[in-house]
Amino acid sequence: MSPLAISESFLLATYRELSEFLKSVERRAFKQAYFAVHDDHAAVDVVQDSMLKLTEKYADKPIEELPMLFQRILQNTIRDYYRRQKVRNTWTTLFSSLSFGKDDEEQDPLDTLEAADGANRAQAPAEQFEQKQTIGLIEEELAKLPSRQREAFLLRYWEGLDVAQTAEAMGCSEGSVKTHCSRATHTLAEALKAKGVEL
Amino acid sequence: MNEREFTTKVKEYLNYSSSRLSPEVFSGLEAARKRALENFSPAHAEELEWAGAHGTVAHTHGKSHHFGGRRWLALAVLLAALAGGIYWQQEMNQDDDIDAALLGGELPVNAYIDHGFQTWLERSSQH
Repeated sequence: MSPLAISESFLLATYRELSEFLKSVERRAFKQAYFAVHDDHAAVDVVQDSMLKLTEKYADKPIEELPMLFQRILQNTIRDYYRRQKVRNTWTTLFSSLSFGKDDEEQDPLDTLEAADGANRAQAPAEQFEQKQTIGLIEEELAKLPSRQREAFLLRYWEGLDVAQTAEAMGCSEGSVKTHCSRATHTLAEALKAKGVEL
Repeated sequence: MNEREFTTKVKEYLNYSSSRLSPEVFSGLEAARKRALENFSPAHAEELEWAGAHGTVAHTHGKSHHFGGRRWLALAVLLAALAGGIYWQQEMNQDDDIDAALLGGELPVNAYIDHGFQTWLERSSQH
């Protein structure tokens, strides 16, 4: 095999691995960003920035290191978004706070839900409705959690990172991760229980 | 329900929800992914071509930084060779200058190596 052919096949493998990795994490990354920024476009931007940073700086890393690196980049990008937002808000305090509050109040959990696809047709309408409503409520309560608690909860229980990895991604101690996770779980469970949701 | 069961249930609901994003979000994410991957390709292609051309494609993930190191080594060797060439060229030019002075002078070349001529020259200058 010629050197060029070897390099091409190798390049394709790496490109494909990276592409598949990004594809596998993009939806959850979008949701994580959405819970934090409450806006579809801003959340997609956050995911795009994170993907660009990953491919620019860490594309030559082993594939098994990518999930952790991506999570760390994603969390930092979300925090950067907050910082920029904070600076912007100092100039438009009144309007920003008024419109933000209004959006929050008017947010209907069911607005975040999509119509069920073919895989769900067999489900009874009442069951489907209940499921959508539960998801809406879970997401609403997740979005209400303090950012660090939500971050720890999602990384630990949704992304499946262990305590040490979560601490690394968040840039804090393992003790803090345990505290954040415990508080987030307790708050979420209490809030859902208060709304009559039994998981 | 204990904490583990609760978080597992929440995870299931979130997985379900994340698989049902709006078409606009799906296309936005797809475009973001493609843009990020476009950004990735050129640098790696260049790096890998270099490695391939030198028959060093025993690549494993995470080892590509060796290619950069080898590239620097090759550059250092090239610069050293260039500096050596320039030095040799200057030495050659110096020899040419001496040759030109000898040939262009009024004295015959043999006068410089004839001890008798040197003695005669000193004696003549004393008178």
